[in-house]
Amino acid sequence: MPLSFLIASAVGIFSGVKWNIPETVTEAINDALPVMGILMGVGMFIQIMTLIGVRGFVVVSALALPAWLLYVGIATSMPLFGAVSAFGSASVLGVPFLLALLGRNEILVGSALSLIAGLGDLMPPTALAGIFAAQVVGEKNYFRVLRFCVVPGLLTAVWGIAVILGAQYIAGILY
Amino acid sequence: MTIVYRAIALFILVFVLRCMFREKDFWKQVTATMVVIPLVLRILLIK
Repeated sequence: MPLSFLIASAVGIFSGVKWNIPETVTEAINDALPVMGILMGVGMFIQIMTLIGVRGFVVVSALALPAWLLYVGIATSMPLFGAVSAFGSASVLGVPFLLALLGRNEILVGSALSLIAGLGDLMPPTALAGIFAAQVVGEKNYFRVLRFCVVPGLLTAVWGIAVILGAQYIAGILY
Repeated sequence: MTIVYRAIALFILVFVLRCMFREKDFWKQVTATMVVIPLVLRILLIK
């Protein structure tokens, strides 16, 4: 994937417009450095969580929820864990939740969990989606961007849970 | 394929180092240093 991105970017060299390649690449890397720093911190955090057993504790606690609370747990814990990392949320919580929901259509449940895990990118302080969106529109305070995402985010979580609940029924229509 | 992977990591590392030495703000330099570590480890294929 990095190679395809690199090749796609390299096409810009032959666009006909003359530009300073090293300066542009340096500027792009410079803009991306704060986000890369966040991802570094998040990676270290997850590694330390795994090392000291907190990751396992979080997973066991999530799975120990009563059946009726499982869905509430999915809708809250996955986006909340996204404050650390949405990718972390998908790997740390997504897989155990998928295993807890075995017996339904796993493809649909996995897709719905991915949808819910994606909401983690709106969760401060990491809030990568909010930070990127704020950068694009030139807004300094990314909380102003996140404010507009609250209602769509809630609707997305409800939709994800609805798909999990109706996975069998939806699978019956699709397959 | 590994050589391409390492070449891409090296390419990014060079520009991150360039940013780091050009940067005036101390904390941004620290961020760049943090980013350099996994890139160096990846180039050396250390897990």
